[in-house]
Amino acid sequence: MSTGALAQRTRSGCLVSIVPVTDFDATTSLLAASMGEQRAWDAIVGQYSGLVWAVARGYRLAAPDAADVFQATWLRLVEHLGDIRDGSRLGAWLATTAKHEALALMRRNSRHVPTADIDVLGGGGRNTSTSVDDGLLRTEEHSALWRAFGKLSDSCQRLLRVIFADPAPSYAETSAALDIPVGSIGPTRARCLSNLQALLGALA
Amino acid sequence: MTTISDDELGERLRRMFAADDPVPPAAIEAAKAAFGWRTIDAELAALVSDSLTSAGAATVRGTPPRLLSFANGGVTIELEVTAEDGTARILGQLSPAQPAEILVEFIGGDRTTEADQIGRFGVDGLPVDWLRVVVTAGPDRTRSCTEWFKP
Repeated sequence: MSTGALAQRTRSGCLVSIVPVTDFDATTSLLAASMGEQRAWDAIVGQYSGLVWAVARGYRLAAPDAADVFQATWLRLVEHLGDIRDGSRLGAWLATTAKHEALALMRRNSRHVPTADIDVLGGGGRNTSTSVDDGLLRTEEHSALWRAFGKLSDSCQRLLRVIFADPAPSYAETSAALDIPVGSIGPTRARCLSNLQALLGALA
Repeated sequence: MTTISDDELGERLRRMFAADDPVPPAAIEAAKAAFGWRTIDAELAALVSDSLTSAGAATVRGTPPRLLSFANGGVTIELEVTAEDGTARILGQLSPAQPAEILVEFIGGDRTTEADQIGRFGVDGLPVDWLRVVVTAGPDRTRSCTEWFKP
């Protein structure tokens, strides 16, 4: 597969459009990137940015903190580019790394603030300060859904963020991002969506 | 109230995240630029310990120095990192103790110094941002590079 074709596709339709998974070959892109091919790297970034961002946002990090986790995850991949040979594991590796970086950032933050504020920053907690959710555009069209979503448990918010990232992650990637077995993704998804339905109904 | 199917609700969520919380274009550009930090001729020194992840660290008041230790087969790089008033300071110790050229890299620049005969070095006035230390030492001028860390 030519990496040029990948790069063009990434440039023209990056992220927001749905890049067909079959057209992206992670193993080929990894190999080309490890040999110094910037366009192959750009294609990897294009393919997995949505997943990495969803993991960071799943921890209810404010936009600057989510951007920091996002950047850290890609720096880690540059460091370990030669270590990952099997492209089918790349998405799960990135999801796991993003999760670790989100937790590391929360540890750093809790260290630089007075202890009284730690509950607010540590893992999203129960007290959601308004700043934690900033950076969202929150269009009118989705305002009711955002409100209902914001009332879900932390674990449901994290799960739905990842499952409905774009492009849709595989079960293996979802499992890595959320630390739950592949077998419980379906039932948990159903439970979280049902809770969301109830919240939407109550807010209507 | 009208209920919608799970699939339909999921699609609404997907559209909502895509429309209202896309990955910021600047973050994508930074991720692409991160490829420029690829090191070809330096061996990665992996993080082997971090005082921040040891129990109790977060409960200490104030900001104590953070102790980080990186190692590969050839060298251990121990760092004490302090962030104060918007700048970071690194004190380092190499083992085995040896003189070396030290390069501290960060996004947008770098600083150089030397480790003395017993492997000590220090750099201050660094940004409180992603940093890494590249050590060039020995008769073969072997290069070792720490993982990125943030004070």
